[in-house]
Amino acid sequence: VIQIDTLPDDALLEIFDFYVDRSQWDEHKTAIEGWQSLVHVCRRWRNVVFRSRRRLDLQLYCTPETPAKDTLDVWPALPLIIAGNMTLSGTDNVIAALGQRNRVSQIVLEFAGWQLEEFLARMQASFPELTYLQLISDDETLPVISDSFLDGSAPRLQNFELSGIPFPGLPKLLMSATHLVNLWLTNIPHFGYISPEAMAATLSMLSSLEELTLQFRSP
Amino acid sequence: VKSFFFKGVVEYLEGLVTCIDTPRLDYLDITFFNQIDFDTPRLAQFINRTPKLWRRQALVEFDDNSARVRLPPVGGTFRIAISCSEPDWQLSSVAQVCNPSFPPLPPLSTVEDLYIDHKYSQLVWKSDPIENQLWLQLLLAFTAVKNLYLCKEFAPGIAATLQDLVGGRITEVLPSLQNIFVEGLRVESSEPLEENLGQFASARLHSGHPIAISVRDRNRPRM
Repeated sequence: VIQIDTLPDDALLEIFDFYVDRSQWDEHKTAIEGWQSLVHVCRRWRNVVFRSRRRLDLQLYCTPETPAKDTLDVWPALPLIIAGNMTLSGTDNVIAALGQRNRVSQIVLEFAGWQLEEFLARMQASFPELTYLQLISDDETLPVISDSFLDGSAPRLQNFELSGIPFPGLPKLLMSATHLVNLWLTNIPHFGYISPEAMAATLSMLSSLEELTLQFRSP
Repeated sequence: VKSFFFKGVVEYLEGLVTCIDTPRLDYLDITFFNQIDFDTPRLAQFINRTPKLWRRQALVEFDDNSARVRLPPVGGTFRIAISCSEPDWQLSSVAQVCNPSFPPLPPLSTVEDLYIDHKYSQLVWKSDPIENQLWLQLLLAFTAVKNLYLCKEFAPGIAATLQDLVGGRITEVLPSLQNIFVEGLRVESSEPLEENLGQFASARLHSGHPIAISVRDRNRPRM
């Protein structure tokens, strides 16, 4: 029998890798942040984990209920996932997390109409690490996403879903999203109309695109 | 693009597919909103350029909210549906979608096994000459069908449609047909269903295009 503290770092890392890989089959906060239980064990484990943050795909998961201002400073500057249903809570925590825009890798949010305006105001800047963006609202009346959304550029974006939110200037943004793999535009409102010609021109630029969904709101 | 899902009006999709080519497409799912006119010549040309979607089996299916064609019946690589709850509108719409003005919808012209079924919670389907004409229009698209599988609810209307062809038009639809499988068929019966099918089979025999009519076994799974 070998005691675990006699294992070399690379063996520990293999074990950690297996542990976090299993956790990430689930996309919820407890799974994404499963690595946190490792760093609480001892200083050596903590060092091994933080030295291998890319291999272990360490990320922090911020929800509308997570007190972002208090917790983000506790951890190293890891990539952020911001996800949750904002219709059930306030916007403060999400807005605080969006302030770390250079770290945000995924945004998956559902809004009430009145919340969207404040969110969009925070999204008029570059989010250089953003790979996954999903914005959903069921409200009938919503503000239109402007051309300055994401500072007009999404170079690392791979997955983009927009449901129920008008964004007539979307083709311009997608011209920069050359790594986009999945594009889901669902419940497209009438005033978010993009002409088929403009859509076709955009699609011709997306050489990595594998899945396309275009679903208009029922008349 | 490997997968494409669309829900909207015909005109938008027609405009879009005119401008794009997707040679790697292996899943296409289309739902049209209810409209009067479903002419889709550009969609037909687009699909003509996408042979990965073609299959040997097809299902035409109706339910409370839509009518659709699916190739193949289970799983599926190509599905085209119309959101509509009125049965006669459903049949008219699906017949139109299957028969664009030009060219024909290519995957349908290669189908050899055709299933026509429904999933209505309560069937409200009247058999009349207009409906028969719509069945005829629908079947016209399936020029390579060898085996036709009918549920018992639609069989009388389709049988009446086929009986109308007795005379000079006997191979006008389903020219390659070899078998009709009908759910609940009573071979020795003299009900209109069996009479009409009998007359159609007899006329096909005399025209040199014989067909067999058999009971459809629902327990035999669709491919």
